[in-house]
Amino acid sequence: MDYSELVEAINEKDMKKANMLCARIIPILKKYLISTVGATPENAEDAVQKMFEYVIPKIQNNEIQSPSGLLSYMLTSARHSYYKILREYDLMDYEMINEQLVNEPDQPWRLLGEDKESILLRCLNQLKSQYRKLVQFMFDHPNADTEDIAEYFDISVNNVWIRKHRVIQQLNECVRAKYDK
Amino acid sequence: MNNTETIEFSKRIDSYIRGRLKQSEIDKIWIDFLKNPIHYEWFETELHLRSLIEKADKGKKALVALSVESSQTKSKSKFKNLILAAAGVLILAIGLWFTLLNKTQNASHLALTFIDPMEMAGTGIIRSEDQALSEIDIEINRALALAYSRDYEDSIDRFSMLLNRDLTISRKVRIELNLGILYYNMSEYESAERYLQTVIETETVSAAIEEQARWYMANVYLKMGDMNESLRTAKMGDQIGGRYHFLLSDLITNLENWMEQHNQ
Repeated sequence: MDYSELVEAINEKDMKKANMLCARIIPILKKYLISTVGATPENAEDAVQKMFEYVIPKIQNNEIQSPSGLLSYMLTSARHSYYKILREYDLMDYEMINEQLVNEPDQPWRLLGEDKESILLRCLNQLKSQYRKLVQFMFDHPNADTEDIAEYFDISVNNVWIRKHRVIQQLNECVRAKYDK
Repeated sequence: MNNTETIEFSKRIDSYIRGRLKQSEIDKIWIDFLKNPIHYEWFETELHLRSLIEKADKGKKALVALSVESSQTKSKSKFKNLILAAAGVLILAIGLWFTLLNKTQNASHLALTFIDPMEMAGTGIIRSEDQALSEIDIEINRALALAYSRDYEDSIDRFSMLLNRDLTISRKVRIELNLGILYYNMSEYESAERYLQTVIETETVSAAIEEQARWYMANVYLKMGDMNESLRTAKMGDQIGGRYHFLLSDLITNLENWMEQHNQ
């Protein structure tokens, strides 16, 4: 995504375009909060909204220069907005969640959704034969690492990473097709 | 993305999912997701695939445990290996699709088990300065927040109370759609049907909302065991050709195949 477009839309007060561009990143920002600080979806929604209320004037005042600086700023501001929401409502909660800033290994698993799993299950059936064999092996050997897979299929470890990525790409295309146009 | 970048990306995602990254490294990944939303989709797909693999593994372990217990109680150890081997063969035969095989007797397995509350209709984020959030919109968002936290009953109460207010057609339709979703998730399919039907029958409803409502309605009929009505509704929704087109056409194909197999 080209963030200069968002900056331009905000500066020109083109709210329709700004909304459209924000709509693309709002789900990711919400999921960032759900995953990293264990926010509930409604708190994540509020925090992202407050983050935009804070960041937009900064953009209008040209206080953020580079696109990556803007993105980093958005993540930090979203986190701070979330803590602020907790602080406003419940000090105890704030103290508890604040401790969770230390990285937890199960962070990403908070993002699982039953509907996506169900669609993915249907998509597995549509994989090309060679990719299906790889996935079948992964299901049969859930603890196999990349080296084990490389040995079984007699390919290099790098090739395993690439094949696994192709599987993910194919599955994602299938899931996307079922969700969107 | 060239091969080197692909390998690097896959390794980073693997480390993230395995919980091996520091928070600063995690933030870098999320900045990448914001720059390239497709990278986030790949990550989420990989996460769900791993979850399915773990669930399948737990299912297999449960099957083996059951076989071991059975062998101990019935025949001590003589046939234990045979039963374990049989369990192994069974596991291999069931393989990847074991979760689907027990469901062939009832087409309701084709229906959504749950509708993600994120699919519910809310309000926009950014408004121009003269466009303040109305009190009704705030109430809608509050009811939505309850649904996000899976407090469906309270969410239904709030949405139902809102229906007694003086609403624009657009707000009324959004609330009824949300009520349809909430009742679906509470397995109260007759109530879900009633609200979704009202949405569909609204003369000025947008094609996008109508398609969404017909998609859920087709699922409601599946849950209620009315395959013909489900197929008819899915076909009407599919004619709109919007966001739910692939889900609807997939459902139509699967449902027609199921009906053919079961002579219905």
